[in-house]
Amino acid sequence: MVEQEAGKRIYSWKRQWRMLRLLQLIALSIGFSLLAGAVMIHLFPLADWKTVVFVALFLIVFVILNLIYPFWKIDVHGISRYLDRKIPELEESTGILLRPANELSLLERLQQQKVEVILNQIQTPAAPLKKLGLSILVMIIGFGLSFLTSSLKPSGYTTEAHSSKDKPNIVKERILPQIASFSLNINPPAYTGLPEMKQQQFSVKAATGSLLKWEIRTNEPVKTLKLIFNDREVASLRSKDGQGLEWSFLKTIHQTGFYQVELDGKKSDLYQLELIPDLPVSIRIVQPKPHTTIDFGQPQRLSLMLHLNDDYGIKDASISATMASGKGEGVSFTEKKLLFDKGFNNSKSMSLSKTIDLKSLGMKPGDELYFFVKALDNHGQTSRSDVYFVSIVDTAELMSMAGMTNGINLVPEYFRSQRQIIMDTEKLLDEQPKITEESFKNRSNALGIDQRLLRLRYGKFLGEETETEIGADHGHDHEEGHEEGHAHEGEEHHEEKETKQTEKFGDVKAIMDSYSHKHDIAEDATFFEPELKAQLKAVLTEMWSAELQLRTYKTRNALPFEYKALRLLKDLQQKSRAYVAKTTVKVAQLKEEKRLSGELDKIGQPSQKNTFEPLDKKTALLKRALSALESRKTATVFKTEELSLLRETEKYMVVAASDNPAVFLPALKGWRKLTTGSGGSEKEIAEVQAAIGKMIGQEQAVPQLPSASPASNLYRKYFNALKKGEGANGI
Amino acid sequence: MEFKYLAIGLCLVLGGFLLLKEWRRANKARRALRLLASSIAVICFALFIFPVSYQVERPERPHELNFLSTGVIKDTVKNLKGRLLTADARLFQSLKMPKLGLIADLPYFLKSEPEVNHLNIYGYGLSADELSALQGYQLNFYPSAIPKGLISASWNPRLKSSETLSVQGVYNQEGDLPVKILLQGVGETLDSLTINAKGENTFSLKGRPKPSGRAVYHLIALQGKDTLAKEPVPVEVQPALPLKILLLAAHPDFEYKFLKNWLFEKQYPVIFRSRISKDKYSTDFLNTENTNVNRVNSTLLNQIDLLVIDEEELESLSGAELASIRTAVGSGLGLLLRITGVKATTAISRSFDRYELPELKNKTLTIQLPGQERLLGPLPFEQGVFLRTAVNDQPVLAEKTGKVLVSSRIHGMGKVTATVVPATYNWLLNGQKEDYADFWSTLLSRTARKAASTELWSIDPAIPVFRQRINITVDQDASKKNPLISSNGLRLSPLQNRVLPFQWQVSTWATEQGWNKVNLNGKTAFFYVYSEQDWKEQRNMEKLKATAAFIKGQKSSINPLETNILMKKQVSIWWFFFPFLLAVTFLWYETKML
Repeated sequence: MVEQEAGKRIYSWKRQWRMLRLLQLIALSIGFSLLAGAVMIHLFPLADWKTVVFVALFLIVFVILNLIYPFWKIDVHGISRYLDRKIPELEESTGILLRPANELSLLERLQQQKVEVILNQIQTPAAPLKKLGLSILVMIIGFGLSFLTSSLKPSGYTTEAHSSKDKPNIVKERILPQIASFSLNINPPAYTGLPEMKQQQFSVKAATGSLLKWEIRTNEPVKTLKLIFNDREVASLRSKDGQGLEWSFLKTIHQTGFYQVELDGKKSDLYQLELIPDLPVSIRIVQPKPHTTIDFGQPQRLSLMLHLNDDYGIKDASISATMASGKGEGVSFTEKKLLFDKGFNNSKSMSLSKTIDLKSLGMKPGDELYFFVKALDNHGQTSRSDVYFVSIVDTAELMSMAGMTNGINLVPEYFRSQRQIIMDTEKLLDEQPKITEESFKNRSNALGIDQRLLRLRYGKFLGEETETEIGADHGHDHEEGHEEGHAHEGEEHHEEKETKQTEKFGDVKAIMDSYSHKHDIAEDATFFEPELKAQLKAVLTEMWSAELQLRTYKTRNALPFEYKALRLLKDLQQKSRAYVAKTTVKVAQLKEEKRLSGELDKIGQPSQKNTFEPLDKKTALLKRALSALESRKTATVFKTEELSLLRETEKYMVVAASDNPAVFLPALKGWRKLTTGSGGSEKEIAEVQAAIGKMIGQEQAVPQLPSASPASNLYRKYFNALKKGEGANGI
Repeated sequence: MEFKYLAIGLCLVLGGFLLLKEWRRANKARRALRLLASSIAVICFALFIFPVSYQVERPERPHELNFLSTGVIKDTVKNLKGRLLTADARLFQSLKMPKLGLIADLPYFLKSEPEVNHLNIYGYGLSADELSALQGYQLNFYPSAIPKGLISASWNPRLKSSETLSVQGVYNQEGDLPVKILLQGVGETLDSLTINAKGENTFSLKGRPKPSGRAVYHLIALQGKDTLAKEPVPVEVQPALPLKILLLAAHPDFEYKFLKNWLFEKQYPVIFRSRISKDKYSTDFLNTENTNVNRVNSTLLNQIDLLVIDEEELESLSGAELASIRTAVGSGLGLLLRITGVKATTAISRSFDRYELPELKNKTLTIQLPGQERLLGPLPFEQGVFLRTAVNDQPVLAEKTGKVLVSSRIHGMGKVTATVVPATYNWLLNGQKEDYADFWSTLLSRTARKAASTELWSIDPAIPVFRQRINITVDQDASKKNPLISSNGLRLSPLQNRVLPFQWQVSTWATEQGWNKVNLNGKTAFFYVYSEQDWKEQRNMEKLKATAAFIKGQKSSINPLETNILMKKQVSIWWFFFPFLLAVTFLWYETKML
């Protein structure tokens, strides 16, 4: 039974290979799951679930690997194929060995015998073992890396999350030994939407208005059980069972401070009562700016963007808008409430936006809009934003000559020209359908040139480089202007310039000017204050833009710039004026008989006397207490007078602690410890001292008598001798 | 001795025997050589046992002594010749040098050895009173490097309430890490500063101690988390002495009103008189009794410490009144003049020269306190008038660019201060109470009459250490009377100074660590006794300086006397070993090879 032996060998290989494959898969999946698990634990707060994570990952990886490389699918045929491939001496005939001998032909039987000999000679294939070795290597690497990652610090956010959530709740408290168990129910007011909480510690941190319920169980019958709030308010508890074992108490808290439990006269430690106040809605307006001016040509719309924030929920928000229209004495105000088109649903944080159409509000040019945002939180607290201003520029007002007809005129002639350019532009736009494209462009360009000239003239005030050939090469432009036959106001001026130009003909200086590069004229440059100059510059910028639009035939686009330039110019003009309203003066009638008599006998000499009685000697006492504590650092006990001083000072400490328990309560506890004689390390004393230092606050300088060394007779003699010798100096 | 001769005899016998053997040897070749080798071997062998010694003369300094003090580094002293001594037991233990001797006290030791007249001092040197015993000795000083850390500090230990504690000193920084110096105590940090530069750095820390009474602050040097030094800074705070102030106003204004109320709330006795008309006044007596203030006379002025008056009011006072003010200031009264105009209108105010600058629009006035970096909050007006200081004037407060606003001068025993700041109440309106307090405290404290104390005392050394001798010096105004001084309940007998009859001196011992009580004419005063660990570097530095100064002050040193001493010296036995070895080798080799 030769073929059986050879077959056996292959069958034993099959078993062996299956085992090896299984081990290999286990090793691989252990390696991978360790690595992945370590990374996950490092990144996420899963430290408490280590094993679960590992087992889950291992199972997942193992199943996946098994699906990819199923160990149960390793069979004898596969092995024979593998052998055929790897060992050419087998002549692709390993399969024959697996077949029963009686099924084989003679030739096959011969081949079978031949192969069998060879098969018995060859060594066990090492490939699966190698694979196993590799996967064990992966496992080892997985181990190593997982150790590495776990030795690294857990990444930042996890620690933060942990510390912020867990730490503040764990406060070590000293509880009276008679208290067997207790619980404290915190029931926050409904509007906060906070869940009811139950805690096993006396220190409370709760929302304002929370209902607290203490349930205390003592291990021996107690006659009285009191809760003392802020060292003043005493609440006696009633026993629930009548035996003095179970006690409960209900209280709504509105004030921060501290309290302590008193059991048959035995007082406990001080416990903190900290309240989280409900703040009103905070309103932050992102858009627009506090002052907005809507110029000509800009859309008369206002887009409003704001953020609302509240700690518990926003109930409502609206815009309160006031429009002011009219002028002088005829100003009328209309108020309107604008609503946001969004529901609030008690959300804590919201971003709102609204577009206010000023036209639909009935605003005309020259009107102003004042608005603010009002918000209501779910506790009924209102808050409002600052007032924002929006004004629409009245172009008609700009065009009026009212400001210029009276008073000094700084820049009148030029100012008119800008107005003229606007009028011309508007006219050109009106006529645009009637005239040819060519002439429209020509006129637009001509206007642009006018604008340029105007700009150059204003530029002169700023000391910009002058172009002395103003008008020289634009003669035809002006002629064109003539052709149009408009009654320019500035035209006279242009003509003047032209005549001057002709006069200059033959003037050597003028010729030289045209070739030389002349910079600003010093006299011009100093005409204005820097503020005025800055504004002039802004005007020039607008003129530049207007010119650009005009000369690129975008005549309609030029109008806003022209208007803005005019507005700025007008502001400039107004700036140089001071306006004092006329008022009537009424003077009281003088009594002639009382004047200039020179008698003073009826004039009394008032004299006041007053002594300052300080309401309390708080600061002085606290300062002395500081010193008493300082001497306690070296001694072991307080002296009697020091103790009485500390008792006197304690009330200030109590008040401070009830107002601000988070800061002063630990100090008060330390204080109590010190006065009762327990405790007294230097650190504890320093803590109490620091708190007292905070209560005293900043020390201020006081004037005081300077001290001199003892004035002995010898010194006096020297002084007098010097005085005599030198004579009086000084006064 | 006997052994020596015995050995020599034995060697001779051995030599004789060997030579005889050689002589009789059959092989006669190289007999002479062998005989020579044998005799060399025996002689050398003998010399092994008794090496040759000889006497030499060497110069020595029997009157010289090397004294090692604290701070000595072993490397510098390990090769020193001559006698080595130290009085520092800790140093003695740490050096572990066999030659080093430990003595209890250097002056005592020197008394017992009168022949010593020359001392070489190593380390940080000796303290001043130890040095005083070394007068007449020839001294050389080999100082160690300057100690590291807080090598010097001083502060004002006796303060009045709200007075600033100012600690100044030198820190010798070593290493690259910056050192933070903190002034800490009574649960708070008053001030801090960081030192980066290497070498000696001066520092100045300031703060107002809050307790009234005694307190110990600490000067702490921190490097990272390491505390390099923690030295006590004991401070005693006494209540401030109130001023009695008379305010004379030509007309009531806000400045006076606020100043009056501010002083009133501080419980200072204040009399405020403002003119209504000719010889008609409105008067306020605050925290004080009614008196007649219609006329300014010497009785009134002697009761008060400070007179605040504006120039207008000064102008309208009569000649007699002005004269009484002048005499009162001459005998100590403080006079504060409020000046508004450029032109001086009275003789008293004329001495303060002023000038005017054109006012600029929208400018504010910012005042700087003397010796402080902090600027006071801006006052919302433009100051046009400034003071020009003369040689005798001391500028007190200046505007931030340095133009003088308040200046002061001495007149007799008193002081006259002039201020051109018209209004300071804006600080109070703005809630800047501190600035207001700083301004007026500076002005008033500088000008007011000096309160002469009946006695003044000081102790030496300034930083007394436990069990150290302390000298207390007392100045008192009563010259005919012995001061009553008792320390820790023990009555002391003071010694009067021969030249200054009002000065008395007494010595006592620092018997208690911490605060010590001294009773001076029935008044209790306190001083602080430090532990030996406190301010160590400071004391080392002091010693270094004292020793260096003492040696510099000595006459140029003569070379020490040298005496020749005979010394026995042994010849090394190696010199005999090699010939012996050669000889024996030859004898052995000859028999084997030749």
